[in-house]
Amino acid sequence: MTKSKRESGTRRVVIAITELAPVHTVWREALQHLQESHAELLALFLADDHWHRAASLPFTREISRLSGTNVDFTSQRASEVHKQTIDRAHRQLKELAAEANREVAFEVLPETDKKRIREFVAKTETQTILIAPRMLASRPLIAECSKSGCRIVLIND
Amino acid sequence: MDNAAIREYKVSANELRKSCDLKATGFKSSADFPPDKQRLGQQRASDAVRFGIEIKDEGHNVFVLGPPGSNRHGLAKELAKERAATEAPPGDWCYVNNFTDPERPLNLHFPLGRGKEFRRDMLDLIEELRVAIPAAFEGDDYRAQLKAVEAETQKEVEAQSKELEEHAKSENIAVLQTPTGFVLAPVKDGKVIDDKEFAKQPKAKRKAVQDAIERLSEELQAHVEQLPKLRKKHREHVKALNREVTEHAVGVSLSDLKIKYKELPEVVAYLDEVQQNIIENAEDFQQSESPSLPFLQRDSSKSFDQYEVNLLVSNDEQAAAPVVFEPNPNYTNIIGKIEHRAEMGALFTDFRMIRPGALLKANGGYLILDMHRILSRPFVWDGLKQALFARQLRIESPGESYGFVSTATLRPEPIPIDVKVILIGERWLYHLLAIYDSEFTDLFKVAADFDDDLERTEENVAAYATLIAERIRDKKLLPFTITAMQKVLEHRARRADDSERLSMHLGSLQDLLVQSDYWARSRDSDSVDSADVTKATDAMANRLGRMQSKIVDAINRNTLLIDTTGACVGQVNGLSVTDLGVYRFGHPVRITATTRIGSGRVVDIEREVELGGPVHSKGVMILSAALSARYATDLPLSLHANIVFEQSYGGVEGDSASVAELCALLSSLAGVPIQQNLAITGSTNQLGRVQVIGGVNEKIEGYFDLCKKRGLDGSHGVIIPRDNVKHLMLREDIVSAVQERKFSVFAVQSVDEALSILTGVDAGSRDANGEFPEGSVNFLVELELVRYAELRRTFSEGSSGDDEK
Repeated sequence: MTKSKRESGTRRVVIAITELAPVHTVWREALQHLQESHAELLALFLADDHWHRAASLPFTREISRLSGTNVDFTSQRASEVHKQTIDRAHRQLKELAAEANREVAFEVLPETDKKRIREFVAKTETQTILIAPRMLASRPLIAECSKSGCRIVLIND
Repeated sequence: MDNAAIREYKVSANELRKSCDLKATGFKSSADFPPDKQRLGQQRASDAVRFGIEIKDEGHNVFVLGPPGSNRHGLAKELAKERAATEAPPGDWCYVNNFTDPERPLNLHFPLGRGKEFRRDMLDLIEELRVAIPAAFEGDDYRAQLKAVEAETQKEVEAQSKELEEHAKSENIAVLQTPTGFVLAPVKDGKVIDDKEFAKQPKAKRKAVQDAIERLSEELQAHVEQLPKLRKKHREHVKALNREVTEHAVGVSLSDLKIKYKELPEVVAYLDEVQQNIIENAEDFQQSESPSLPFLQRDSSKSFDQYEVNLLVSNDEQAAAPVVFEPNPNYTNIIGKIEHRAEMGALFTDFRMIRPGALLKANGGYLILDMHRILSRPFVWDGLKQALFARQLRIESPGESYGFVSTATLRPEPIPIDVKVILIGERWLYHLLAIYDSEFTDLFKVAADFDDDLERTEENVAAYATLIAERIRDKKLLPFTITAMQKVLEHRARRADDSERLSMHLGSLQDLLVQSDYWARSRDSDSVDSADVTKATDAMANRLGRMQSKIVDAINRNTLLIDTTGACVGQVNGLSVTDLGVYRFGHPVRITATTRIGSGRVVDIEREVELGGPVHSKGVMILSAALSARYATDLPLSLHANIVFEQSYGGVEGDSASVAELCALLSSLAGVPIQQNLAITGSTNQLGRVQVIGGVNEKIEGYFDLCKKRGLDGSHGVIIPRDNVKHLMLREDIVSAVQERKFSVFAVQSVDEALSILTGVDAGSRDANGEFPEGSVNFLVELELVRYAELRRTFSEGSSGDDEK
C-alpha cells in the first residue's frame, strides 16, 4: 500500500506540542502524513500551569542567564513567560508552515481544563491523526483520544 | 642742393620690394611640391632641445623660449617623440591598500603591462573569493565542523546543567528555563507544586526545600557565571575554525599568484599581507542577513574592495616612452589628486581614489608644459619644482602640501619620478624667472631659444616653399598657384621686417594660408592665386585698421596738422608707428623746434611732461650732444631750444625721430625752411651718423597713403636710413608710384645728407680751414650759434651772470 493511498481518507492531522517537546520532530512526521493530501492541519499546544504554580510560592526566584542575578518570580512574570513560551512555539510553527507552503491552525489547550479536552476529543474521529511526542503518552489528552478511535502516532523525542 | 645730387640718394624701385621667384623650382602649384617633413630653421633651438632631452642629468630640463606662433610646441613635441621612440616605455605604477596603516597606501612598481595584469589577477581573485569563501562557510564540511564545535560547547554547558539538574532532581527541585533565565521550584510526582500544596508539607520539609533551593540557587549562579567563559571559548574555537576554512579557501589561489609574481618580491610581500588580512577577517566574508536600516548594512563587497589594485599608470599599449602635453596644467592635473565620494553627507576616500597627474603619466618620458599657464594657476610651479628637486611625487592636495588642512586624509607613499620637463614660454618669462627665481636655473639648465626669422637664401626659400606646401596639404586647403606661393613668401619677408629674412612665425603663416583659401573658395575657384593672398592681407588690415583710418581722417580734416606741401622753418614731418599687438601701422607726426639764446639746454617737451619714454629722451640728449660737438666748439653753447611732437597726447618712445628732431632744430637755427612734402625717419648718433630704425615699411606706407589721398605730384617722398634699405618690403602700389616717379624714397647715411634733401640747400662740410661753405645750412647754424654766444657774453658782462636759472 502506498502512503498516498494509506492517507487518502485522512481529513485532519493534529500535532500535539508542549513547551518541552521539540516542534521539529512532530512537524516532520505530520508533513509525511500530509503529503499529497488536502487534510487540515492543527497544532495543539498543551499548556502546563507549572509557571503559575511556581510563582505562587513566595521564595521562588528567577536567576538571569546573562548576569546570574536573581529576582522574585511573580505571577505577572509567570504569565509573561507562559505567553512568551506559547508565542515562541506559534512563531516556530508558522515559519515551518511557510517553508512547507502549508496552512496550520494553532490552538492552546490547558491541560488542567478537563472540559475543553473533552470537547476537543468529542470532535475527533477515525479520519483524524494525532501526532505527539512519546513523552506525552501518559497525558489525559492522549488517553481520551485513544478511546475515541482517532489514530495516534507517537514520536520518539 | 641740385636735383642731380638729390637723385643720388633715391632708392631704386627694385630695392623697395624684394620679389620672390620660384620659377626655378619648375612647379606650377603647391600640389607639385614633394612631401617633405624636414625641419626648417631653428637649428640652434633644435640642437638645444635635443641636447636637453638626451642629457641624463638632474636639472637638465629644457625651457623653450620664443614668441608664440613660432612652432615651439610642434618642434618640442616632435623632438621629444623622436627621442622617446628610441626608448622603451616605462613600467606600471599601482597603489594598493596598506593593511597596517590604511591612510598611507603603498605603491607597487611593475614591469611594463604587468601592473595591469596584476590588477586583473586581483579582480579575478576577489571574484573567486567572493564565491569561494561564503561557499566554504556554507559547505557541509564547515557546517559539520561548526556543529561539532557547537556540540562540544553545548555538551560542556549541558554537562554542567545536567549535573545541576540531577542534583536538583535528587532534592525534588525542578530547574525550569524561562526565556531569560532559570527558575527553581519544588516538585511532587513530576509536577511543580503550588503554594497550597507546599503549605500542606510539614514544616521541616518546607524548610529543607527552601534550604535546598537556596543552595541550588548559589550553584546555579556559579553555573551562569561560567557561561560567558564557555561562550568566549566557543567563539575562539569558531574563529580558529573560520581561519582554517578561509586559509584553505584562499591558499591555493594566492599561492598561484605568488608563484606568478615571484620575481617581484614587493608584490609577493603584498600578497602575503593580503592572505593574512583575509584570514584574520574571515567573518567579514560570510553572508549575513541584511539589517532593516540600509545604512547599517554591512557591504561584504567593501571587504573585498580593499584587495583591489589602483592602476595609476600603464604604458603597455605604447611602443615608446611617454610624451605628455598637458594643456591645462593646474595642480591636480600635474601632481594628481585624491578624490572623495559623499556618503550620507560625509566624504570618504581610500587608496582606490588616488588619481595620477601629468608628472606620473610622463614618468620615464617627457612632459611638455606651457610656462605662462603654469604661473597663472596657483601652487603648480612650487609643486612642480618640489617634485623635480625631490625626484619623487607625493600625491596630496595643495591644502595638505601647504599645511592648511588638518583633516585626516590619505598620504600615499611617494613614487620615484624620472621625467624630463620641457617648458615653453616667452623670452621675457625665461629671463624674469632666471633673475628672480633662484631655483629655476638649477632645474632648467637648458634654454632653447627660437629664432624669429630665417635668412632668405635660395635654399631656405625653396625649403620654406616646401614647408608652405606641406602646411597647405596638412590643412587640406586648395592648392596655391606658384605666384600665390611667391606672394606668401614675400609676406613672410614683410612679416620679418626684412627683405633678406623670412619670418618663422608659423601661426601667422597658417592664418594667411587659411584666409587666402577662404577668399579663393568664396569665388568658387579650385586654387588659390596671388590675388587671394593679397585679398587676405588687405582684408586683415582692413579688419584691424579702424584706428589707422581715424588718424588718416583726422589728418585730412586738418584736425591733426600735417603739411605735405610748402616749406617751413623748424618744422618737419616725422614718422611714427603705432603697434596694436596683432597689427601695426605708420603715420606722420609734426615735429617742431624753436631756438633762442640760452645756456646750452635742449628741452625735450615730451620728457618734461613725462610723455616721452627713456629711449626717446636718450635720442634727444644724443642730438643735443651732436649739436654741441659739430658747431662752434670753441665757444660755449648758448642756446635754448624746445623740441616737441605736435598734437601728440599719448606717450612717445624710441629714438627713430632723432634725425627729424635734429633737422628741425638746425632748420630753426639756420632759418632755412624744410620742405613739407617730405617726411623723415632715422636715429642719429653724436657724430651725425644716421642709424637704422624699426617699422620702416609701415612708416613709408603711412606717409604714402596720406600723400596719395592728397594727390601725388612727384615731389613727395620719405627719407630713411641707408641701413634700412635691406628691410624694405613695401606694398606693390608704392613700388609702382616710385617707378612712375610720383613718389620717392631717399636713403641717407648722415644728418647732413638728410638736411640737404629736406631743405634743398647743401648742408656743407668744413673745408681745410675748418670753415663751412658760406650759405650752407651748417654755415648758417654755426653763424647763429656764434651770435648766441656773443650775445650771451655781452649779457654776462652787463649783468650778474645768472641770465638763466
